[in-house]
Amino acid sequence: MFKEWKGIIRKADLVLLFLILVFCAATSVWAYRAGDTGSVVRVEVDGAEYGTYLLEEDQVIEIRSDYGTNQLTIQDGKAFMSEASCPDQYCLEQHRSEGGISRSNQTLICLPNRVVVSVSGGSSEDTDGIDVIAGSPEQGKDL
Amino acid sequence: MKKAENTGANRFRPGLNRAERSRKQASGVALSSVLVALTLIFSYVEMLIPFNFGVPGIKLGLSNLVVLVALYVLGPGYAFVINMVRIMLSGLLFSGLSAMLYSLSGGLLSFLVMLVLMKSRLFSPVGVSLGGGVFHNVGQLLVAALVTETVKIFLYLPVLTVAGTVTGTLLGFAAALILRRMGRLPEWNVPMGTGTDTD
Repeated sequence: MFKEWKGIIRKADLVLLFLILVFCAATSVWAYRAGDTGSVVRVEVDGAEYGTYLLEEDQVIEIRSDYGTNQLTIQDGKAFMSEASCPDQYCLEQHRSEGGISRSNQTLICLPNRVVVSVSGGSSEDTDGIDVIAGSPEQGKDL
Repeated sequence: MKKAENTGANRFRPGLNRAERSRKQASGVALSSVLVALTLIFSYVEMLIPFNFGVPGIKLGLSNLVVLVALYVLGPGYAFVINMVRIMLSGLLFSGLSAMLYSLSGGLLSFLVMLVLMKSRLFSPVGVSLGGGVFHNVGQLLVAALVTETVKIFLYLPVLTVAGTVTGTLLGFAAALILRRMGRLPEWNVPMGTGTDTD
């Protein structure tokens, strides 16, 4: 069956594939570097700030806007989306396997409701006037 | 080597007489509408398959296979119209207007990239589809970043690029096999290590 697959690929295809893989590797290093452990989650709706919440406190936050409603849960220092009115429900899956987001390079994004949840206030960043000690000293900070 | 008589370039050759040309145009329009219907069926089938990675935009994109084949067989003009009509209709039928914005940006950017890669005559359909697949996702991310006004959304770029590479390559192979069966692989498409293969 795979005999037919021969004689299709050209040299330029492989060059393109190689370039894309290099690009992938480079962006992965940028995206998955171990971020600083943050202290607060910042919620934005349609680019405007909705509120910031401490990661230390277990809480359930209702995010209501014209675009829809989301329920953000903070549990054991990690934040995840527990309910959403959006049709695709992608946000409920994001970072769910790790228990939620807690580092500064992680986000929860609900595109239909235009909700962006990000972590900020790590040990090196300014904490927006909130005086809290950032959680555990982070491991594997430098790659 | 057998030469294909009716390749894309001389399909609408100006030398043809008027009646012949309008007949060809009518068949082109009819074929395009059949292909649009096919893309809608593909979109519907894909919608039925539950496929949730937590990141929107990861899917096989079977309808892009149709666009890719149309690009080679009918030419850029028809392929572009098929692509646009497909996005409008599947947006209205299945995904809704806001999701249509994402498929529109992805569809436009990927079409542009595929056109350039094809016209360069350096790539086989596999390379063309690969580039199209990756840039489809880049286009969607660009609009998502604009809508949410968050640059952090580009954190999804690696995942989406890998997904685009895999699906693009698979669809490219499928397109190449279809085009070869149709006798429509362009003659400039000389694969590596040729000369040995007598088809």
